[in-house]
Amino acid sequence: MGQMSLYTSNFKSFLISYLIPVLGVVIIIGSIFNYLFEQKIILGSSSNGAYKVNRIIKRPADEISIIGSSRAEGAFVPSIISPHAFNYGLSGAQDDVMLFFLKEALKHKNTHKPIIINFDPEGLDSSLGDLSYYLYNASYKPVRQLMGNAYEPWFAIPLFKYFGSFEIYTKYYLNNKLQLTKVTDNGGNFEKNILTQQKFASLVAERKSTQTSFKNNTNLQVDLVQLLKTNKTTPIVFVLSPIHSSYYVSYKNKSGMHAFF
Amino acid sequence: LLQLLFAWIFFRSENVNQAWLVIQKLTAFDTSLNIAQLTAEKGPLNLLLSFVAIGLLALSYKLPLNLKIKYPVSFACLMIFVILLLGKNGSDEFIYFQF
Repeated sequence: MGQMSLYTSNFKSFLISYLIPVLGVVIIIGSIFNYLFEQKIILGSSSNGAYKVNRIIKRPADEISIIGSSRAEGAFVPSIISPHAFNYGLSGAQDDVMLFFLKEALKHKNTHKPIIINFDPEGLDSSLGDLSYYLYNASYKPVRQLMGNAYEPWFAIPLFKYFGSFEIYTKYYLNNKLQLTKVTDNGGNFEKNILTQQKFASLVAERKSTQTSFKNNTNLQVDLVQLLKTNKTTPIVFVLSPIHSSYYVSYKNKSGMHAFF
Repeated sequence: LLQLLFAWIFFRSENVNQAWLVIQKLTAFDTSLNIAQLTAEKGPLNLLLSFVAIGLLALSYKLPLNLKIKYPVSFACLMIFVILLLGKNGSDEFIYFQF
């Protein structure tokens, strides 16, 4: 009995002198850090995927939106198109994400500004890209639905949800501020480094040997057609950005692509 | 140290041909100041963090063996933030994977 009360007393003293102060400090400093990190670092870089997801949810009324994958991100210079153009291209993301962006953009009925969609020749397929794109807005239902099985309950906990992603956000922020290896322009992201001829040749050779085929995810197609049919106000322009000829060397079913278009 | 680094080439290569290719590239002295190549296409932040990690490892050798923490609460909080900020989500290939 006496030993049990000793354990209880030890635990109580551990709780009061150690655990509660640690938790208190972590919660207070963590909340302040979380707020500053979100406002200054995540939302402080227009080329950051999380910034783009957040921006499309609040799409400005006078904006020309460019949507697509990394090809869109690196192929359209928004400031050349219009001072009000913004490039929402996301590296690694595919058409499920493109549809999310399109749905969000079309929710703002007060705008008649066009939406440019850069269509990839791979057809309609699903890929979220980096999860860090969605963490800031993870509590927003359509984002949660888009994430599907990739959504974890701890994405609802401030600060902790960014575990493992602090580096990538900082990287985007530094790229945006320093413009050392990349030039950013209203969401567009353009490599500054010039490839050596040897590296370029090896990339071309790699691309030539990579088999690509046209995919057509019927669920995504139904969603896309439905969206296009219901939209009566916003002009939507589909664009195929220029691709190096090596891309088509191992392209398997060009006929599928032609039939789709 | 040089011998150790040289042995590491064979340790990490998938086969002898790959190891030989690495040695050829290393001795070709075909260098440039292209920042993408200098940072192995990982960006300057990664290069900077690598040097910080090497510095921290060097500092860790200066720690006394009978280290006593004067302010355990502050130390615990600091460690939680360090793990939270620098921790990596998911599992990358372990460096000794080839054993």
